[in-house]
Amino acid sequence: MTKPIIVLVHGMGNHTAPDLKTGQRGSFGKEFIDGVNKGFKHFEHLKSESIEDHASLIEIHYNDIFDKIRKDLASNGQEISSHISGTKLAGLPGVITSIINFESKLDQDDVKYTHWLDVALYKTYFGNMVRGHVAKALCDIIGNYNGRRIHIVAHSLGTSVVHDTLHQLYSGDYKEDDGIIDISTVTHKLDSVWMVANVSKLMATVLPVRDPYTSLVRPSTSKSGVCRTMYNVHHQLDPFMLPVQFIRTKEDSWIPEEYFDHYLDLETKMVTQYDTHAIKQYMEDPVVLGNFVHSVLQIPVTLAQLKKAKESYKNISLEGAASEIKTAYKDLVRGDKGSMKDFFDACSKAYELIKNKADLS
Amino acid sequence: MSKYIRNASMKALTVTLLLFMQLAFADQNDDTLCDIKIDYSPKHYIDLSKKALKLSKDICLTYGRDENITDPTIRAEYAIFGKELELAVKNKFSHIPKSVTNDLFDQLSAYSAHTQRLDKNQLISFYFSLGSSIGSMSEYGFDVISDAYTKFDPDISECNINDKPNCTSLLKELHNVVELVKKGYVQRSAKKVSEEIQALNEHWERYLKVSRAQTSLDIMVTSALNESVIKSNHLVRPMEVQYFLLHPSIVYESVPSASDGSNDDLSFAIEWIGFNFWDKNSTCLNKLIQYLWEVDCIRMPIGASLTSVYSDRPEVSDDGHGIAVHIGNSYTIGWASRHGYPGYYLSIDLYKLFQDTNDDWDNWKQKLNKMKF
Repeated sequence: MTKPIIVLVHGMGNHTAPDLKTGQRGSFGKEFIDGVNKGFKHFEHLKSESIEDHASLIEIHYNDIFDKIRKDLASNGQEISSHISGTKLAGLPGVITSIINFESKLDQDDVKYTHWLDVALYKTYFGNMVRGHVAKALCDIIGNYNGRRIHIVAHSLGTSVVHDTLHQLYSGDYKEDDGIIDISTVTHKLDSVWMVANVSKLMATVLPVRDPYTSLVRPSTSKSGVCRTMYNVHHQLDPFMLPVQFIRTKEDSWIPEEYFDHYLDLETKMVTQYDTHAIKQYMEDPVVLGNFVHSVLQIPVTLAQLKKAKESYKNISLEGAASEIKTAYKDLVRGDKGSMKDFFDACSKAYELIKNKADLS
Repeated sequence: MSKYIRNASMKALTVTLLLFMQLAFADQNDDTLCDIKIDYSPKHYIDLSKKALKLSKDICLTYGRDENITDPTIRAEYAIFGKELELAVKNKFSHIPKSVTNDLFDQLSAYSAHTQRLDKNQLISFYFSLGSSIGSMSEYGFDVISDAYTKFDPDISECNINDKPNCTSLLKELHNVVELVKKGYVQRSAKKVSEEIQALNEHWERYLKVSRAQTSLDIMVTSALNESVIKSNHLVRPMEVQYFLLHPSIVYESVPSASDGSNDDLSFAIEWIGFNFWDKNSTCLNKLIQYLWEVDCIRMPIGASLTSVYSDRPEVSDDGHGIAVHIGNSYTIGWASRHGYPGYYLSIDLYKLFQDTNDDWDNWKQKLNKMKF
């Protein structure tokens, strides 16, 4: 079979765009490739392999939409701020000056604005712009698929973007030229969707496009799901996974029981870097990479090979890091009852921990 | 008379030629979009691959012309392909014991039945995989035909008989042949949908470009009050109305009762609540009159806000309260009472006004920045 197509969708934060003219990868693509290629080293039979020899990687980049919005908001805020600074206007409500001050700083290179604000903006109508952009890019890919298998790997905020986009783009009752912009869950079916650090359920707690438990984004052989297989990947110590998790069990009747082995819940535990949310760490972990190689690249991986790779990976894990991380995140809300506020608390804790570790090193 | 006839004939000829050229180019365009190739090297199903390619082109060419594929030739071609595929695969697997192939043959019969009705929403693939996870068995099967794919072990001796094609090789090529049938249509329809999404995205870009600037609070309120835009099951166009809450801006206000020299000056304005129909294409200012008389719609973006203005001016109150009307997304005119003394103000969104001529905007910005109140 010819090389599969792997579509990469980044998460929150600043990501450089891929350059289609020069073929230069975007920052998310580079991190993904780095993680996978490093992960190959833990498997004896894959040591000399490179992901780019086995798949066509295509990045969908939407970060510049948020960048433009942030800059426009900042420009307006700065304009007004420059006129009222040093002026005492009697009776002016304090909340107004707070809004102006907040917005005038939005173009600063601060993690609050480059990461957390992406999440907040996505929940507004700007989310529609992002989904439109991703949907078009995906249709362009399908429009040139040439019979190849298409897999999507989404990370962090990208999982919510991909979930919402696929739900809006696909339809079980597709008809051409009926005025509805859609494609078919059967005719245009995707091979697999990888939700890495899946926040789609959490993001659906506010203005949901659709609850991920009832949407079309599920594995199915027929019209009730957009893909044949779905992977839900999460690290035990990823702070963003704590407030609300995407969890599906056989008892949920989410998909037919006989097809439940096409929904894979992959939990990783090993810590090789303090940023347990990073795509690189996720992809390098043999639990994720082994299954990825086996099912996406169609290169056989046995349980014995996986066991050896895990041992090799364990050798590079950071000693004591897991308990340090557990302590740092001990106050975070866990379970299924969390809110977006709990998510932002997790963001702050994670940022604090990673920054402290970076300062020490 | 003959001159008129000649002219009329020339016109008719021109129109016919234009129509012919249009159709010819449309066909050429369709042919290009449906010009697919076999991108694998057929070993086991050479004739079927050629037939699959032709069928794929034929189905592809119905796009936009025959939604339900009523053409009996294509329907028959599809049904015959299903039957021939069933026979060819059974023939290729004849050396493999029935205990191994039973399920495959059942599925082929079901696929053959499936091809009796050609539905663009049900163009199915033949799935073949090493398995969805490490340790799971390999799988094959047609989409839709059953709720799960068939598990099998491709390494069993029955599947690997010397000098005969093995199961894996036969199933991989079966995947390719079946995929080829749908490839033309899948690619063409996805490209068409991509064009439709592009048009939709242009509406959103236009929204960003021409609508009134909003603060983050306005954005949140507009999103919450236009929930249907976000919660839609499909990709949708931008909302028609923008909402404003505690929206700050700078206005140029005239207060006749203020001391000489401070009558006309900049003020700070707050829109407590407001709305704006930003898209001239979806507004009709004279809708009521339209019901009564046949007149054209006057289309113009329009909105209104409850607004207060603040500035430090001698002899009048620092704050005034009133209303503002927003016209054309860039202009605001308003009235405010400063404890009985009226003030009139005007605001122009210079950024929107000069967004295509940055030099002018920069000049205005410099002038404005020098002004303080």
